[in-house]
Amino acid sequence: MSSADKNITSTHKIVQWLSERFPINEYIRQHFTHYYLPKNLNFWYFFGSLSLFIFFLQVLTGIWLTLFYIPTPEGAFNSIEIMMRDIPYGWLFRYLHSTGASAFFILIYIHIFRSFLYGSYKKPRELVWLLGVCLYIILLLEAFLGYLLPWGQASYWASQIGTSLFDSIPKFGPMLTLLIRGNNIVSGETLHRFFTFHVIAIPSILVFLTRLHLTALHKVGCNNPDGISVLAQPHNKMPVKVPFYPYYTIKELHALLIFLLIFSIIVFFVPEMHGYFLEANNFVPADPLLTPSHIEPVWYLAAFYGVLCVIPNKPLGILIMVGLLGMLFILPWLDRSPVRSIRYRGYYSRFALAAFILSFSLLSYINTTLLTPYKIFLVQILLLNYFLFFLLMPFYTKYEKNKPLPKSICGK
Amino acid sequence: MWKIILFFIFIFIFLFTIANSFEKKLSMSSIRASELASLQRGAKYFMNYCSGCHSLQYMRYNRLGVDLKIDDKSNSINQSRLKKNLIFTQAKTSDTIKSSLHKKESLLWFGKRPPDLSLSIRARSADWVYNYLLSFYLDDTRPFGVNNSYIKNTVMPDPLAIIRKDTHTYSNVNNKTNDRLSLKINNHALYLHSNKNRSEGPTLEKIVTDLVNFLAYIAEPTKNNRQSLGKKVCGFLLLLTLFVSILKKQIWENLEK
Repeated sequence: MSSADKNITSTHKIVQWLSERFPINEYIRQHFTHYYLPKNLNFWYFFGSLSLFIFFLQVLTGIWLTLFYIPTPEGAFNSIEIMMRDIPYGWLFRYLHSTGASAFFILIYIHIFRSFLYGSYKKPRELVWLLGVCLYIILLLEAFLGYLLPWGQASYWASQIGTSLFDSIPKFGPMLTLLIRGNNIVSGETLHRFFTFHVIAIPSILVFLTRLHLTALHKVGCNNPDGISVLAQPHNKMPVKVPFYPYYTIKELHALLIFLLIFSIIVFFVPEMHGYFLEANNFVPADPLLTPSHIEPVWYLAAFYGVLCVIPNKPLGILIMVGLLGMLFILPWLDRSPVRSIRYRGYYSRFALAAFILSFSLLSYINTTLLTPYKIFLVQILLLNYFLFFLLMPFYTKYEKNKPLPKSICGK
Repeated sequence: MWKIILFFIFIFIFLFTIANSFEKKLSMSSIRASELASLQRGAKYFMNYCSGCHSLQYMRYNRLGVDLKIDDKSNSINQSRLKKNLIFTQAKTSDTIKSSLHKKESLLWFGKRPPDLSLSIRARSADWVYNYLLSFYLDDTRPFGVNNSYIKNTVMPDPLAIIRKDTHTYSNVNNKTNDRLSLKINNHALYLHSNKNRSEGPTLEKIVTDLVNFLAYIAEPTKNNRQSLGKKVCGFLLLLTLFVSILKKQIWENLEK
């Protein structure tokens, strides 16, 4: 017996010992080698796994940052600057985490856009969609909590405004605000609370919900760009479904590397992204006595922050803000179209989706700039547009003329 | 399959040796020579004209020494060179750069503490600092005799007054200011110094450019390390992406057969 054979048998023994005690083989079968996916998935479908990757990257870099971060008003800003200068490769981990936060949202937005594009929220994937929306909202919360931690001017005043939202809830508002802040203003107590939730509580919920999201997805199966059921395919020579391993693992690895290349270019060459990923104002330590003349929100929270700026009535503004997210929950039941994919939908749907994407991107962009009366009016129009996309959906999806669906996903 | 693994191992060893060869260079400062001269001049100007009031609380003297190559090969010389040329306080070389301006006095003189300048370039911008430093003009109504057209009624006096082109008028201002504060400074010495600078020294714009370069370096001392590491990482990822795309093609070709 050669040494190579010996090695094989010993590793084989270890694997066998493990598989007798743990369902490792079943797991690999179920989720990799015998998990079948439609053959025609395009690049829009890789952003889910990319988000999962960036989530773990955030966790890893986050753990590293926690080693050096001091969650006190006196220490927070300094500890980050020490990380950036004195600790070997501290800057790398910090930039990975800060760029990762923005990249996470970009990936999630593309992932959501894919669902809109190919109707992935429609029956039978409503639960996958709902869990995804929950994940998105909790991710927004996680980002908001983490945004306070650098303790710069931008983070401090964004948190001051963010927590003051609860003030306008009738009856319980002031008490709730006090509970969240631990003080009458955002202070050391708030920082400690936000730190705890950002580091432990919310990430645990994210892990749990991600597991549910994936379990639900693997139960109903993946949608595809044609939006037709793959089960009802006629049997021809070409297979319509291919196993996840090796066909999609290699594609996802390819997508991951391309993403990492773009990500690295940002991390190493433009980590501030001209003030969008790291604001200039956040390089000034937080000062509770000095309100900046222009409080600019970070871009991924801007769409929601902007609502408060343009609606004169505060409780109404908060209601609309909640409505922005609430609309996503009822989306699966608003869509009456018999067709899933945008490829076979009529012109109304196409136009509506384009208008919706445009208005949401513009909302995110305009609200990071200084709002002038003209811009406020524009934001109001865009908000109206956002809601009209959802509220008119039952009508335009029902009465539009769709293209005929193909019989198979394997070409015409 | 074995071919692929061997190829991987080969690439890995190849890249590892490249990375190792780079590492030796990295321990030295990775700032380019042309920049380095400007940064060294900037450090000189900062220590001479700014450090009296402004701190760089996140920067250590010895790091400045290493990064700006204010050293010869042996360590002892490094320290003495740094101490002689850039350290005007009682600080040790391992200390951070702090001004010895007393808090109460600064409040008395300026109405606020001079801000720390470690992050000034990132908090404002290089252009902002450049324009601000160049925009001082004479104004008798202000306590220090100068005003700033970029930031109206700034409380900062013009630190570069003695090297401006219109030094003559400025030294009059200095005279007045000194009278006002009843400080006994040998004005004659001031004239001499400024005249010498004017005839031989660089222009104000060049000095401010050096200062801004220096402050930009202080705002992010790791920027050069970041960019040099970035080139390697991106190069590696590019290679790996090409390799994986070939592998992907092969695997999907199997399906078509």
